[in-house]
Amino acid sequence: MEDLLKVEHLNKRVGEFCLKDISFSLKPGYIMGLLGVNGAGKTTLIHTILNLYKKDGGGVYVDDMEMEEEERAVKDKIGFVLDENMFEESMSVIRNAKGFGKLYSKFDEELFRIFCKNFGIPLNKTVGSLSTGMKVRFQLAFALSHDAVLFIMDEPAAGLDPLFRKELMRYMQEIVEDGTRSVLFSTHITEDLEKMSDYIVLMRDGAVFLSMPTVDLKERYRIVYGTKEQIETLPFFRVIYKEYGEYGSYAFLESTEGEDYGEYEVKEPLLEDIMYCLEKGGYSYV
Amino acid sequence: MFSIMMTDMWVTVKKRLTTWMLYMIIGFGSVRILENIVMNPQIAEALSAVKAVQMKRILISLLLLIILYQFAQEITLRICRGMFVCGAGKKERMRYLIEQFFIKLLFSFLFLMVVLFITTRDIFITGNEGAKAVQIILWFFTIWNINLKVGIGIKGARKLDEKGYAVYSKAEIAVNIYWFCFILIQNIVFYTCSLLNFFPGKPWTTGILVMMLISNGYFGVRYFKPILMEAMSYENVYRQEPEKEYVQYDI
Repeated sequence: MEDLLKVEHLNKRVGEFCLKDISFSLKPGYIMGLLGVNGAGKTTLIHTILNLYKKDGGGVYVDDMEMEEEERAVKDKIGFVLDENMFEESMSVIRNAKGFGKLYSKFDEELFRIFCKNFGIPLNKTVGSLSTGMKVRFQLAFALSHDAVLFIMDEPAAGLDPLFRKELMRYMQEIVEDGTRSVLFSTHITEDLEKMSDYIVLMRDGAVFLSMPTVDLKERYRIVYGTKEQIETLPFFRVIYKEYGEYGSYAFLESTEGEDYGEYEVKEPLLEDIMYCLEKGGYSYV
Repeated sequence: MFSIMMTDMWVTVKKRLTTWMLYMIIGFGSVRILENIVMNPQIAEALSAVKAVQMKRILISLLLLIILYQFAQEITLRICRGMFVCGAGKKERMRYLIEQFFIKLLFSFLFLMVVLFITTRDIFITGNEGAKAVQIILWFFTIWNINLKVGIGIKGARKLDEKGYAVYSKAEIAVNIYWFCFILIQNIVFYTCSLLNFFPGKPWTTGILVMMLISNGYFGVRYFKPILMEAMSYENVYRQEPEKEYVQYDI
């Protein structure tokens, strides 16, 4: 199966910060989550993929088309939901959709109206007067109305109420269901990634620390619980982080195949645990 | 796309409308006072009626040029954000900018001519045919120059270097400093000549016209595309945003 999105050795400097040699790919029918703490470079990466930031090196390919060379054709296939509003704030929802819809080859105004009705978006309200959640809904409705195949979302769940957040997750799943479309989204909410993403790209200081299927990532690490003494004298080598508490201590380690943890209580970590422990213990053993 | 472009420009106009109205009131108030002075029977007698009307036209056209300069500083060449993410490529963005530029040029010219005609019943400062041609060409290039400005997004600010100085490209320096000063000198010479009623003979006027066309045309054409290319960059126009105010939650 061909890659729907391919990012190859992407480099970009923005002031003091730089994206370093970013490479990953996404096949149709999958959801990929971009994970990383604040300042890891998720938004910069998304902006560079969307060609808002001019790359210094490398390439971005969508459906085998290079972004810079065939920008219009590539963007025709991309639906975006960004955390900052890119539409005209003083214009109504419908005028924005009509105006910007003209830039797409397959924009369907009727379909847009249906999505707006389903999402409860008032068509005649100005975009600037919409709430954060409504703006996300509007962007999603717009993206769904021009038959995009690649959905790029930057913090789509930030500022959403739990109800619509759940709905958004459901829409994401529906988007990829037929196996022809994919979603790349960044978030701080690891719980969403846990449920939704097939692949995780973990970013650290502008570089990809790891990129792998979510299942494999969770298999890769273990949390071992015990008393302070037990954790201090842990016989395993690949310990990344240890934390001692009054009511129990634990160690975060990279698991190895067939390793016997014996008397220790072992748990598969959540993505949140993985991020926390890697951040605290240092990004090592990969 | 045209309606989006016009709305984007109108939003900027609306934001500065009060200030601009104030400029207009102060400007025209000053002209009115000066007009009263010039039209004072004693002074008018000394100047002659023709000279007094000419002086009024000079004052108003200069004032309008200053107002247009202020307008152009605010309504700069800027692509709306949506054009950067939606299904548009370089070609579409360039077309957007060119259209925006020529709309600004047209509006500026119309504004200058219409207001001057309404207030002085003529658009030309002098009756001299050569001077009329020089005036139109000079206005055209003055308006071209002041409208050729790369815009910064409403929330944005200029990119600064390590020492805190604003960073300008070579094309911006050439247009905003060198060409602008050159245009300014041409305007000073033209208006002084108009005031003194000093117009050289036909061969001289033709020579001046050709020189103006070549030199201003060079600047206008040479730096047109580089300036538009500057405005085509999202990073140049929108990247320098202030810190977001809302709290982001880390794990």
